[in-house]
Amino acid sequence: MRCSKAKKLFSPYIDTALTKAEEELFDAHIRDCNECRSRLEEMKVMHNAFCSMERLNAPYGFTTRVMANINEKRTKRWSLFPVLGMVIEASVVVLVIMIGTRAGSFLGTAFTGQTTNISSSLSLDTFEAVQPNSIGGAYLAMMEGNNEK
Amino acid sequence: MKKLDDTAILLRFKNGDTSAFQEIVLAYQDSIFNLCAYMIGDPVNAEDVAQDVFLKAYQNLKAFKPNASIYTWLYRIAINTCIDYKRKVSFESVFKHQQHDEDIIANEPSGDPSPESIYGSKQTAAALKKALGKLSRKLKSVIVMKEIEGLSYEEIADTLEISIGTVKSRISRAREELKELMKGFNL
Repeated sequence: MRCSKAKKLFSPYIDTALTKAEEELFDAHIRDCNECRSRLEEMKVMHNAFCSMERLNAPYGFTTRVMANINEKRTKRWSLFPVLGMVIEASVVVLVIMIGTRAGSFLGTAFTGQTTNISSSLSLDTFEAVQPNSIGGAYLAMMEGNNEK
Repeated sequence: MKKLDDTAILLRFKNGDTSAFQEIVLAYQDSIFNLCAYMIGDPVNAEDVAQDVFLKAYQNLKAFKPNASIYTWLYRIAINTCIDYKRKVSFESVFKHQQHDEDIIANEPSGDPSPESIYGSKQTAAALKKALGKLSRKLKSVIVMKEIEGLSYEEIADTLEISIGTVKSRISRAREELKELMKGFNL
């Protein structure tokens, strides 16, 4: 076995994933090759360091906190519905106002003639003088008399 | 690790039995916490990440199809959650000028080891943790699952949805890189 081939087998050798035949060839190479033996030794040291690493367990009460977290999220999701209702309600009000405005302007344009009459009645061109024998005329005559005094 | 009867527990969950999910958390909490702690290199924040893993699992369990086991599916969620967390932390560290990976290493024994203690287990473990923090996400995922969680090649392949050949070559590359990185830390 060449060193290049042996190098590829270091990792599966450590994981005991070599076939019997591969393992025998690998062992024979390692016995004869100092360089590969030393590299394999380094790999084994690293593998042993992994094995000696502390195994960390979840802290006390972890499951309880997970379940509480889930329940909190579920409650929050449900609590969104009243807010959603308020948003829908406000949207309906805005929609009704908009429809009313649109309908109003539509009716205004549909009866254009009436609109003209209204505007012309407000114009000063159509102003008519007060009749002297009316109540308005008497009031104006009295006011003029007071001003002359 | 106690493995559950996936089919029975899924059926109970789909029928609205929330205690079924609690059983899943109880069965896998230690494995997921341990995986998260080594993946993010920070046991303090590992609980938050592990909590997030189970929350995501809860939200997606109804859609889970039992063509994989629950625990490999949980490992997949955990690996992705840890990768997202590390991305977030490294993005934030750009602004904070911090190297998060090295925070936990600071607690390890420091100083130049003598030739006699060069392979001392404590120093080796400290250098290994440090080297692990420098490994790429892809290589770190496979080596942590293999060496720390003790998963088989098949289980890692199922978790990451890659071929067994890819798993073997990544593990081999991870070991080679770790060995070189550890030499760089004078060990």
